[in-house]
Amino acid sequence: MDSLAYTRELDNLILPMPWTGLIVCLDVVALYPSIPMKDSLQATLQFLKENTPLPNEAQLMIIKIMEWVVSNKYIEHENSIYHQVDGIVMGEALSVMVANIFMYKVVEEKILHKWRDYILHYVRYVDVILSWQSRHYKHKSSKMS
Amino acid sequence: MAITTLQAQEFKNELTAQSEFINFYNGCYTNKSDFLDLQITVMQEVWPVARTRIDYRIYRKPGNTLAYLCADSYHASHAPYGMIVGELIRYFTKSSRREYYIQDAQMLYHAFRNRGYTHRMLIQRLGHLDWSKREFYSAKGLQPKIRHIPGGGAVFNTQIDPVMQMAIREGFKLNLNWR
Repeated sequence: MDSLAYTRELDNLILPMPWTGLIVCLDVVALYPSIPMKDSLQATLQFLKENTPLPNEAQLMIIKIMEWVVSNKYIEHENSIYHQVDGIVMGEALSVMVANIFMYKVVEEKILHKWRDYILHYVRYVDVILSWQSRHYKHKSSKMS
Repeated sequence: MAITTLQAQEFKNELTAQSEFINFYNGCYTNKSDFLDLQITVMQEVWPVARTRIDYRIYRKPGNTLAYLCADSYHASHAPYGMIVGELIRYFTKSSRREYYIQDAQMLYHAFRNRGYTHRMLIQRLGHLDWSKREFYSAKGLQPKIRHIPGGGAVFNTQIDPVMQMAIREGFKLNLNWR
């Protein structure tokens, strides 16, 4: 969701009166160089299995091509060629998709499920998160007590 | 009871704990925040209706010097026109109030005047777009970028990649056997 689409969400967002909640803004530190290749490929395979009707062979082919793309990136600087071994490359079309799937499957999915009752509204644009929280979060332990 | 910043910290900690490779910068606010190019403000309104109102306008980084293209640059003459129109459309589609749009448009006017553009040229463009066109441009901007075709799929253009074509002719093969 880009900022123009988010303006529509904001127009329709109704906050409690009076507003005593929090607006939490989070930004991932250096997302692209931090994403591990192996984990991102596994997350993408899992995402394909859960969200697409593609046959297994097609899913594996996509992952195989992705693996080739993300592990073959080279940078030329002062007549030397460097092979990037950490993270995913910035500026490549595939990287945005990999980053989004990684953020969703690995980072967000479980936490959003756990926090769903405490978050009024949540939005993420690749590595920037904005979360409107209007209820106190209670630990399982504090619930029990 | 107001929620404290400890909750924001806890939310951040739980997200961070999901992967050893990911860390977050944390910002926590009660009535304002910045998200992408939006500056969001929460206000309590008492009239005409008592409610919590969310306002938004264009966010600029503190270091933004509004250094647009100079009037005597060698760009084609339509380039600065396009920049002004593009910025104005961005301003009114991302401002919740008309006064925010007017303030930003005034700022744009002075920024371009400082870069050597004439009052006449700027007024021509600034007068061309007004608040009444906001809804039209918002709806236009929100249209899907991919043109869908009935029955699924999307329309896109393809062309032969000469490098890949040459490589395949020379015997290059992708090994698609997984594991």
